[in-house]
Amino acid sequence: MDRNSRLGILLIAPLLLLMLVGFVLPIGATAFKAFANPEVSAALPRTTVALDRWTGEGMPDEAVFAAFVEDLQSPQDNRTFGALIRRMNFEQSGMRSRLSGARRAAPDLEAPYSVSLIELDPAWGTPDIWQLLRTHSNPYTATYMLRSMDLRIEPAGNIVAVDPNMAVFRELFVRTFVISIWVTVFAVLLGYPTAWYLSTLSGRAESFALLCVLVPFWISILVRSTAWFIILQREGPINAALLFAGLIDTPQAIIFTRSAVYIAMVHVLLPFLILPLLSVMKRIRPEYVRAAASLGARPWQQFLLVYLPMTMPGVAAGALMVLMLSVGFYITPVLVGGLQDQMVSYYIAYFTNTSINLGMAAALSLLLLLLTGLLVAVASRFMPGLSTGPRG
Amino acid sequence: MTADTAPLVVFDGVHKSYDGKVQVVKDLHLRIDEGEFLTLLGPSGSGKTTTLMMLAGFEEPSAGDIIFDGRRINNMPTYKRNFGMVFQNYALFPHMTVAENLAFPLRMHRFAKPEIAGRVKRALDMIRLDSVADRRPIQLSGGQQQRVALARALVFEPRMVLMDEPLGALDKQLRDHMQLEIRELHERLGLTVLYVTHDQSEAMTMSDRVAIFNDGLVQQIGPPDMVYDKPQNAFVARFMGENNVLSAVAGQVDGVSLRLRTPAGAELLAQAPDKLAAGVASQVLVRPEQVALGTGKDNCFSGVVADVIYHGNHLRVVVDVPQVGRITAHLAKSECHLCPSEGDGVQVNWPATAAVAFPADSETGA
Repeated sequence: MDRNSRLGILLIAPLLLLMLVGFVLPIGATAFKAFANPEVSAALPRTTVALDRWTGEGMPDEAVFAAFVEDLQSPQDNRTFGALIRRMNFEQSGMRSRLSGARRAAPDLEAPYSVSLIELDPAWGTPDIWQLLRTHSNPYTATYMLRSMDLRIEPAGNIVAVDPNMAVFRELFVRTFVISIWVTVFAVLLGYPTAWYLSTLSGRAESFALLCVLVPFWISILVRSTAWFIILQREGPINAALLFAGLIDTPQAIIFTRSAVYIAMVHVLLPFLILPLLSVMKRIRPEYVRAAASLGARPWQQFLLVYLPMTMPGVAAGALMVLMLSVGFYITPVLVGGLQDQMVSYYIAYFTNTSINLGMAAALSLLLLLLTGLLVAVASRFMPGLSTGPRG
Repeated sequence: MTADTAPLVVFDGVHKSYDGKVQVVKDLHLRIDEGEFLTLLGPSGSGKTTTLMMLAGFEEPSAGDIIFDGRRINNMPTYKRNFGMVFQNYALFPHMTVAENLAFPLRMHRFAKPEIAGRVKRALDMIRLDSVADRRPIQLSGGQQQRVALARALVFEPRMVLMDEPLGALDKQLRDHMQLEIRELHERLGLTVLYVTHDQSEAMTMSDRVAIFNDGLVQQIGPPDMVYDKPQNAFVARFMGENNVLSAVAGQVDGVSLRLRTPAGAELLAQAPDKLAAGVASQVLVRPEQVALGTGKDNCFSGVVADVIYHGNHLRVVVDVPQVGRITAHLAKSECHLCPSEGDGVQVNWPATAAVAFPADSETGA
């Protein structure tokens, strides 16, 4: 390694460190959390060992019951047990009262426990509940990832679809990508002519027009989304203007609809399309279109065969940026959309902040990351100009 | 270039102004005959490129008419004009291969598929580049790109080819070579070419006729030897090649020559294409290759050698002549035995027929 490349590595070292600490490690930790399953083995260590010896066929023997009751009797902090209860209840509703009841009764239970425990609650006499505990005594689980795809593992180990009334996530992912793709399409349709117009300006007009694009870009997304919330609401300026003009009789519901989400998201993301596109368009000298004209191309052929292909790298770069940003959008749909317009990030926030199910939050994040990566891979395969990069 | 055939292109009193105030092209009258190689030569901002752009259809004349083949084409869109065009930066489409670039005009003119393939093949042969047919323009050298741009402008057999400083981006050796190649194509295919350049030696090498532009006006138009040897005004004389410029005041006409007097009192003999009245402040222009060392009949002065510069095929001798000013002479290598060195006293002389006198204030006058 020569002196220059050593110096180069030294110069980018802080950035690499930051990338590692702020990007690689959190994503790695999230990926780990999506599969981690420590609750059962932490709260019920003896039961975990005993269940490991059980074949899983029929009812477990007395040793398992004894280990279980011993675990319940042993003094442990409520947090560990609380995590177990939340975890099991997520897998099967009703487990909360069942486990709490068993723990409360445990000090007074007498051997043989395989009889006394079943007397306390007949549910302990079915193999299903023990199979469930056994499945989740494994420190790793696919449950969260499966649930993110509306699937679950039956106690016997086979993977099935969840009840239709609990299936939300597939639709959520489809909705997220449909909204993102439409936002990208609208942004391209609005941004391309705008960028072209900007590229034809020069001097003072150009600076002013560029400022019009950049000023909203400098304002935080939260502020811009809130502004749309105010503009679109029932008593907002749009409804007021329409009422005043006599075009409508009653205020229309614009806020909390899909349209509101599209309007606000396209507005927020438009600069990300215009700016890369503009930089590509600025570099295309008028000679190319003139050459096409001199060679006999009609105006629409000049555009379709020469200008559009030459600006494709800009379209691809901008569209990809908009697509990736909108897939992860949170605040704008939350502010101006209805419950049916929420995207994956909304549920990630819900599982993180409200239901404190970090496994689910991590699984949804990981799946979103994987699907976005897949989408980008597919897009760059079929989108002209993306893989080849700008030329000329 | 016979007078009885109708010219292919006529500019009839064409004016062009972008802002309504500054006239970029003023009252242009120009005719281009079929099969002619006409060069528009001038400094930047002289109106030559604007003239080309108007003929190509990228600009519209503010006044006057452009006639092509008997039809007025002022507002005709470029794609209907059927002119091949070569640009300074070649404007090869970067997203197409060389073969696709060559096929583009043929597709636009709706040639049949097999015809397109055949013509592209022949065009590649013509520029000796069949090996790079599937490469992208960016993978070619400047000279190769130049040849592809040329072939693309010719492949659909346009009625006329317009070239806007097509060799400006090449190095000198390649430029010299391409000049001959274009000239050769012009002769072989009988092309009508309108060529724009600011390089006077390029214009001399290639053209049938040269139109010298300055300040939006055609200063002189004619075959290269005419504009070089018989400049009609001081601008043309100074723009075409190197000149010694001497200030003097016009005196009496003496036979075919005019007598002038320098401020230091020396008498000069020169030709005056425009009549110069006695007492008019004038400029006398003498080409360095017309200046000889030694004594002569006309315009003979003594001076001191200020500098001798070696130029490969000739020497350049700069002589300070107290009565006249600073005179540069070109000396052929064969005359090297005459060559003085710095500080030597020498005599310089030039024939009266080789010096031209113009009014001093007529920098641009037509």
